[in-house]
Amino acid sequence: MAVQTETIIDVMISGVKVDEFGISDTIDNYSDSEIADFIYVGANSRMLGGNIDIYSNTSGSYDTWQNGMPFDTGSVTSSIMTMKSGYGTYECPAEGRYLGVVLLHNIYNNIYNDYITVGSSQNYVILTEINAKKYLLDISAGLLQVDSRGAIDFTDKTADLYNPQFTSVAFKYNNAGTYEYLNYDFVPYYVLQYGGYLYLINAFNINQTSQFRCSFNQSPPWNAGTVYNPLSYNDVSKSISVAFNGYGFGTHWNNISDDDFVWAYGAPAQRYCESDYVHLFADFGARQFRCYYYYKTYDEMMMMYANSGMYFRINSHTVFKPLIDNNVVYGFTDQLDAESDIDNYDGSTKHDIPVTPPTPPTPPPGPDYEDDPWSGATFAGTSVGGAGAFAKVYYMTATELANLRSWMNSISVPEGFDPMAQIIGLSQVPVALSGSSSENVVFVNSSAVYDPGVTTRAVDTGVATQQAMGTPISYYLGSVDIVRRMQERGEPYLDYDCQIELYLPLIGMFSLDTQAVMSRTISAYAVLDPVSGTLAAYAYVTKDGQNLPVAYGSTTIGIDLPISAQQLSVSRAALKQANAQLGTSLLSSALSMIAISSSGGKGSSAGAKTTTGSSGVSAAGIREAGGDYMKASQVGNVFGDFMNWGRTIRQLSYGNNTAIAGSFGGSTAQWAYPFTPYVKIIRPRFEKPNNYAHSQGVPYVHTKKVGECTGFIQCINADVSGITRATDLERQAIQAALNNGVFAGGGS
Amino acid sequence: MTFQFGTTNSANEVIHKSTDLGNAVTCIIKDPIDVISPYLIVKDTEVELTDNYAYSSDTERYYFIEVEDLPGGRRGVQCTVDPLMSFASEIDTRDVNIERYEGATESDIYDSGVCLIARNEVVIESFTGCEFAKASDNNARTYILTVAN
Repeated sequence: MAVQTETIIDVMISGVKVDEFGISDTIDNYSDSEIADFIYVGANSRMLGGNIDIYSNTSGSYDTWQNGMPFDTGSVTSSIMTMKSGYGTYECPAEGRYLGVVLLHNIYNNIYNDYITVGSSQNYVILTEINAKKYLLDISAGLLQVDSRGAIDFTDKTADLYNPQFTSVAFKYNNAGTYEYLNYDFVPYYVLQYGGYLYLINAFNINQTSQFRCSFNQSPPWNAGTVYNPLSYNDVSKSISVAFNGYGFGTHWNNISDDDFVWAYGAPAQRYCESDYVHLFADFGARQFRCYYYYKTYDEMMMMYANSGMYFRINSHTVFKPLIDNNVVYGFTDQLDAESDIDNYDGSTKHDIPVTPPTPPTPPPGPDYEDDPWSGATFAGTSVGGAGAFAKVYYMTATELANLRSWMNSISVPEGFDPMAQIIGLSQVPVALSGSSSENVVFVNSSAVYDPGVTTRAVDTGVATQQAMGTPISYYLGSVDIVRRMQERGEPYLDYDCQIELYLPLIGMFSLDTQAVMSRTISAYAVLDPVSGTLAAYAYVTKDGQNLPVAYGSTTIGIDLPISAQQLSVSRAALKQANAQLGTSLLSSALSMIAISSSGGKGSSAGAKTTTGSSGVSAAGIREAGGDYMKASQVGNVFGDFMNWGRTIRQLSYGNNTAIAGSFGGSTAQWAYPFTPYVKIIRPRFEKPNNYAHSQGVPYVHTKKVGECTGFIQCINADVSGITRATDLERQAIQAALNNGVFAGGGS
Repeated sequence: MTFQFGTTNSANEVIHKSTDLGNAVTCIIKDPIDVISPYLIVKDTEVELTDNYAYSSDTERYYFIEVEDLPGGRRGVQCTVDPLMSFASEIDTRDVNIERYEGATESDIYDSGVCLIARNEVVIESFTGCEFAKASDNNARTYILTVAN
């Protein structure tokens, strides 16, 4: 086996690129394993003279391609390069820019009398006119690498991919500098019928879509008319490897390894990819899957997953945005709000990817109240705790809490120090919270004897956890469209006969005014005050650019945990006291604004009870100590009593909405209720005869000329006095007919 | 007085009826002469027993007809005026208040003609994009410890 060239650059042997593969070099210098796969002569390579001998592993003989094989750039005469085994006819017209295919190692003897035509500027690589077609691809250990700009097409479908031993086909789109050719119409097409790997090496343009398809018919043994799953052969699943040389995302390879995208036999099983910025989804109905590679957020990916009906696991969802200026990519950033021309491209995801949690809108006024109770209310809440507060809040996991308990039972506790006495509250909430900073739990040893040498009374437990400010947290609860289904079904007015009930998580059910919400989108927000455990939520619809509240309420989802028998009885009150001092009550900062103009109802305060705590601070004292807390108390007047609450909803919300059930807070058992809002829509059902509109018409209260109508019309006291040519009797008959119903415009 | 006899397949309530009428023939009108419902006597070769419609250019009216055999090769034709067809062009120009119309769409007006079924449809539709539910995934719990500072 020998290869002799004058000058060859960019040569790959068995996938290993070898530069300056000199004239005197031979493949004999390489081991069989290295040449087992393929020989590839890359773009701009030249081979002026010399032979490439291809060893046939079946006959043991040499199949020699000679004389300028694979091409001679000096004899450019056409756009087609022809390699013809055994005949020495090899032409390369296009300077080898897109050519350079020399392969077919381990070819059976049958190929000797056949030839392969490779196109270049025609955007095709065509394997055709192969008499012994089925053997061509009987490559047991080869890799067919095609360097082209467009698509590969095995024109004879009956033989292309006959043998499942066919292992690999590779496409490579050269660095042509422009990428416009890679669009939806120039997609590589099939190839991967019966297994083997397909490597798709593309220079993608940004925001383009490519795809490759897997033909779903014909699988050995042939059986016309029967659809097989080509992704599996003999029940053995095949793998598809997709590697992207992402122009839009840098020059590195975003490899998706062989196992990343495994097609199982039969119904789609779990699929996943690990690419940061490339995601795949299968469209099994169209027998194809597509590769999208403009940047996506995790949620958008999940949305794609939802739309495609396919599951794929994304281990990382970091996204990078290409920084583009004047069509030049000059960098990448994970700051999705960074300035980039990609936002100007049509069809891109543009700039609408939120990088921060959405800010809840300011609740607008109800439509019918001059004295607007919502004016100025901001539901997100603000933290006013921190410096100067007399309590410290930690967000702990169960493990961290156990660690603290272990410390408290250890000999590490300073002598004479009772940490339990320092704990004034312990509760749990059913959501994951993140604190403002990582910090060890630190107690204050108030009983420590003053010592001039000691500057702090702090007792560091060494238990790492997260310190928090107790800041209220805003959650977007999502949205739902109230669609006019009855209109779609032909009876529009029945949409307003629907009953619509809204469930706000753990807060309760609301009967919504259909007039207020029909054909609109209901959105909702919730705010959690982690310190008090209060969850407040509201729902609204948008009308004429205004967000109009339709339901709101609060509950307590934070559950106190027993610290000791004595402290359990007082911890809540103590915690409330701490809350007052922290001033972080959600209600103090947000909901109180709702109640500020309300005269208040009956009942006790839900958000801030005024029980006298163990510290001896009276309820009145607390109120006087903090104006914000006073507001919280007022809020309690609004929300504390359920019945009052219902009435308040009706008065303050847009439309005649009523609370009908709730609230669900108060114990961990009630965390079993859904955390996602939903609406229950009760729609009427109807029956009407076929051809109903034609035989009876449908309600239509308008004035119109009879001649402008077509079909059944029924009039109200039709005036026919102007038909002077008719007799009175005839006019009466005409009027009666119009009032009883006639068919205008002829027909019927 | 001349009449054209023939047929119509259109319903009586159709204003503009489709007709298939023959040539005008001269008829004898039986007394008393009545433009609304004349009775005609014609030769049996000029009107078929199956004819159901007629037009008279003299009266400028269309008629529903019933044909019967008479002795002596004659047939009697009882006509009843069709005011809708006879004055169709005048009717077309009338502005009328329409309460039901086949061509009406997208109406939110109640239709008492539709029968409601006692059993309603009940659907539950969840909100999409709920961050609160996501924060509680996998039974998430956070323990909030408040200590004296």
